[in-house]
Amino acid sequence: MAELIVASRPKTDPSMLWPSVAIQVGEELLRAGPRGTEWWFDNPFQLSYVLAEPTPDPHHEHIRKQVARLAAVEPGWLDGAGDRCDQQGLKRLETQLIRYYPRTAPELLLSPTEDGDAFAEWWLGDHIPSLEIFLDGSPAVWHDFDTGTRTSIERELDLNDRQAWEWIVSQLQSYRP
Amino acid sequence: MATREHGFELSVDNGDTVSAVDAFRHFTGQGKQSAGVLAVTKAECGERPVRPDPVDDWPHHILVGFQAMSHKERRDAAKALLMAAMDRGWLYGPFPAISAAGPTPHSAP
Repeated sequence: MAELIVASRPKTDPSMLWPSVAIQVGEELLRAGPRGTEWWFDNPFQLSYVLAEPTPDPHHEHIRKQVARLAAVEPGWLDGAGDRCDQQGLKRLETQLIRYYPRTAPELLLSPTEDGDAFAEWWLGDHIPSLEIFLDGSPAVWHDFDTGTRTSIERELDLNDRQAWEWIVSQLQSYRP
Repeated sequence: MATREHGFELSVDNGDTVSAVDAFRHFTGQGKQSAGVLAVTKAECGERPVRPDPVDDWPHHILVGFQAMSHKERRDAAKALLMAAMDRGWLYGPFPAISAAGPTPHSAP
């Protein structure tokens, strides 16, 4: 028997922030639990490498901070109007962003909408793209305004779909000056 | 913001009669937070109706209408105005992050 305590974030699912301790072999997550967890294995195996205890990921911290600010918005924030953001929807959004919005993508800034949903907007070269995110899970609305031609396109996206996020990120990266 | 609650009208102040600093002080003096002051011209508002709307002791108040438009058209118009304003630059500010979105202005109607 061998005692193994490995502090590492599972590679298989970057959004899986908690538990913070895990043993992973290849792509297989063998064990996961809160920090300080001890596991005992009847069949010892050789660890090819051990990752150090993780430090907070600045990109994920930024995402969490953005979402937390929306979560803290009180009803009536807009001159007495303005709904509170749906907390479950925000948790789902945070998970999606951590999974699918890479650190290489343009900085994300979220703001609340009057109806208690989330809104992201970027300004990249000749484009002002934005994403209206409905926290009840309805399809999001992508709107891209070309400042050169003053034309725009609109597209509905299912943010539960990884491919939708890949498309968003590819669009944003293609607009970078 | 030109929101439904505000009848899809954007509240602005008349730059011909009040300075950016005084407009900022008046706005924040009501307990509201501001990232700074930007400006657009009436011509840049295009076909959007622009009308005076003096309120109480503040005769400089003006409304820019975003009514009778589809959601997409409203978004287009808001971004076109944002572009014009940002091309002109901040008249006052910008100030550190004080809103959920931070100091970066956005066009959310």
